[in-house]
Amino acid sequence: MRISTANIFDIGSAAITRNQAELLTTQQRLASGRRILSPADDPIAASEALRARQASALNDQYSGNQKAAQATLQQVDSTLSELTSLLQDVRVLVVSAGNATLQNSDRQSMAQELSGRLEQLVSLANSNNGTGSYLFGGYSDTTPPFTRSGFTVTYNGDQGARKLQVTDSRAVAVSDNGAEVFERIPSGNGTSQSVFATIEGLIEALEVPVASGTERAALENELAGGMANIDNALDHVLSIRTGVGARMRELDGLQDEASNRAIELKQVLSQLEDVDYAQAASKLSQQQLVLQAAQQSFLRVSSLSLFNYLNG
Amino acid sequence: MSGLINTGISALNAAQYGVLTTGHNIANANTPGFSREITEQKTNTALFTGAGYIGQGVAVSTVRRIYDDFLAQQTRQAQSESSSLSTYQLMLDRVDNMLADPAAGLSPALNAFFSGLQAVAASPSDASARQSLLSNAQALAGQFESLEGQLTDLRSAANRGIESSTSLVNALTRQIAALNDRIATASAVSAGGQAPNDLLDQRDTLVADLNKEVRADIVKASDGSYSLFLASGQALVLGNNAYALSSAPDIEDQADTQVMITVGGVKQRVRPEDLTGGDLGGYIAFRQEDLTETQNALGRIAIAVAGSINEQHRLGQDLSGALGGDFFSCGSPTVQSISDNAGNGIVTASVTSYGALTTSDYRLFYDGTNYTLTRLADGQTRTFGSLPQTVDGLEISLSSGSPSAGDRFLIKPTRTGARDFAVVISDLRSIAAAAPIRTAIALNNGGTGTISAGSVDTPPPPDANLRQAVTITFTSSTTFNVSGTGTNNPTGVAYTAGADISYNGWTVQVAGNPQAGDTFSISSNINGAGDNRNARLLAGLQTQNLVANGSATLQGAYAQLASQVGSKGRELQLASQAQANLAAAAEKSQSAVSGVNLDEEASNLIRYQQAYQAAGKMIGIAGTLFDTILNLRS
Repeated sequence: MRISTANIFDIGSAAITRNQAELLTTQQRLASGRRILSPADDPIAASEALRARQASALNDQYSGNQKAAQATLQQVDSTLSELTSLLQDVRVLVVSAGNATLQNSDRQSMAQELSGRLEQLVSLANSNNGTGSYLFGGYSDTTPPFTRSGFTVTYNGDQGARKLQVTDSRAVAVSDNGAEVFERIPSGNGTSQSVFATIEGLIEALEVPVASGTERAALENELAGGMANIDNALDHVLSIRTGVGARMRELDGLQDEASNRAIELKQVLSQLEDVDYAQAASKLSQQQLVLQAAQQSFLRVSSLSLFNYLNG
Repeated sequence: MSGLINTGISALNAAQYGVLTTGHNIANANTPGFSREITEQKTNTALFTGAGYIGQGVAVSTVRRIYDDFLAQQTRQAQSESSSLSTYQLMLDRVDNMLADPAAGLSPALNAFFSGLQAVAASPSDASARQSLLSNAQALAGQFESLEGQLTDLRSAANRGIESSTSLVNALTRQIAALNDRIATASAVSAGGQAPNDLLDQRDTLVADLNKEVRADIVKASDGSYSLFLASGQALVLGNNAYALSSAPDIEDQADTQVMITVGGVKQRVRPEDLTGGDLGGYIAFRQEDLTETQNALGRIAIAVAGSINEQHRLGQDLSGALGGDFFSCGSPTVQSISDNAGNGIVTASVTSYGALTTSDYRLFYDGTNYTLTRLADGQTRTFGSLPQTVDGLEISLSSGSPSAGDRFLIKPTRTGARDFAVVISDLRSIAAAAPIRTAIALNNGGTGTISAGSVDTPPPPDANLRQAVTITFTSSTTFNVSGTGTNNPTGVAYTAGADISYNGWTVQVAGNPQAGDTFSISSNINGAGDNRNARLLAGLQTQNLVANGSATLQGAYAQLASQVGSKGRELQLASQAQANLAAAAEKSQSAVSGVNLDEEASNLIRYQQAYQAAGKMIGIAGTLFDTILNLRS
């Protein structure tokens, strides 16, 4: 077959250009560490990578929410634990208040101590998370949920449950509202008794001077009722703590899942996008070889000419 | 003896033509479009003698260029297709890289926006979380704007490409028409009837160049001139006349530059589908097929983001206790009346359901009785007798005037969706993270009944009595009364545990075993700064299938778009490479026939040199022969 001389040059330089372009692409892959330089390199993997990155961002978000929920629940739990020991102290005090040898003045000072405990209790019920958000206010978390006037404590919050989204389908309540924790404590007669009202009642009972046997019986009756209410409150707080603990355990599990998922998604992304260095490096040396061969052979072929032997 | 001298001279001439032609070939070995030439020799008419015919030497009958029409046509077509594909690919590559850039595409901005919503859900009353949500929302708007801006730039680039390609076509067709004239004159029988090889080469080169701009088919006339036609049959060149192309905003779509052709002083629109091949074909294919689709798809995502977020946001309550307003704004559908419409009808379109929108543009045609709506992407049509009509999530109405028969309207439902996407909210407190209502269980309830947190019924706007205080009072363990403004105070409503109870635009569920006398209340969510219910619902939109009739999430729709463009890019990469190889192979075949091979020319040089030397020798011998005769006398 005939070949035109221009064609020899065209083909030679086109081959060199093509080899150079391929070499550069491989070099870019090696330098960037990315197998997909443009989505057109592998459209399916590129769009998979986009989805994986979205899934990964969402997973990170849920993981962050789980940590935030865990932290808040931790605060709720430790507040409830303080509440338990406070109620236990009150119970010990109430037991000793029943001692028949006590004078009115002793009971008076016990009433004062209980009043201090009530103050402590209100302050526990008004705990905040350190950034000004009250733990037990329901949705109304920017103002202290409980206010005290004399011995009367009022709840100003609502019964809302703040929840955080911790997976696509699960939202976990990060606190319980104050009405639920401090007020809706079942009493023996099927109604609710606020823990504040219980302590208020005890303080009032201890302040009444005991002179007669009737008064003594009335005091003992009050103390027994108050004791039963404190026990109910302890049970109630325990059951709320159990609920909080269950949620914290659930979050532990979810966090394990989220970190596994994060690793998994990273692997998926890496498989989709990252360059296989060994393969790319061997490709690079192969392409280098081909380019050199193209250059050298071009020089050889293009230097062949009959004119070299023609003497004018 | 003169016979021998004449024969010698004829041989000398022939050899000289041979050397000259070979020299011409060598000189033009690298001239683009040059076809090698050879001299064609034939014997002179022989002299009849008694002994038979005595040869009278040689003559050069013509100088012929080695040219194969079929190969040239194949090369032209392959090159035309190749330059079309490579222009197309270059343009699409830019879209491709832009969409899937892991750092700068839409995807990271969407992720960040939803993360911002989650952060507000985590701390609804925290100003810094709200600030970061607003910043992320602004960044999302900025990203929509930037992507849309780049696409609009690409449309301008394609339009400019069409304009410059058009002027190049004009320059080429003018030269071809002029060459047609010169070739006809030069090759006329009166001028000797010989082919003007170099002019033919020049014209073929110009025709090949023209085909790199737009596909033009050749019809050869008897006088040797070329007539060139577009795929539609529209003439570009007839003999020595060239018909000029020009570009102008398209009458059918003002956003696009269209090609017009001037015939008899009148400009006619060339349909885009008739401009195939070449750069022009590449620009037009990119603009019509991919750019429009991409811009519309991006707009559709913007409309879905704004639509879904706004709908939910308006069902919430902000930090000041007011109901939520719109969070984002986005572009509305545009309708263009075609400028030659005879009637004065103004057609408008609005989005009724962002989930049902397609990525197509539409053409509405009025025939005097009926309207025909054509979905341009797939050509599907619908006919109806009157407006308004709702099609594909779009309500099309006649806002004023009346159309005349033959009037057309171009409807672009989502084209400006991304361009006009913006954040409406500027005050941190206006982010409606809370729900407007809350529920409570009376403290003294004897039963175990519980009430759900309650939800606001869709779609917005919420019921006017939404936040009125309502009490549900159980009259027995199986019935309850409802009291409160807007509820009409129904009594004796049957109780089913967990069933929906809906009044005033809200829905709650009561579960468990309530007793007679137990009450549950629904009230305005006053001071609900810590409530994140609406923020969670907003954040939840991220994983819902909101786009394309519930088939894709917002980000899914974007991934789909990126993958669609990526696949097209891949396809074009392969097709463009294959076509370039095909064009190279065609060129190689053509050049194998027509190209100059210097070794061959070198050997021809030697051949003609020796012929020249031999002819000279022959004349020398004729001289000595003559001398022999002269010497006889002396």
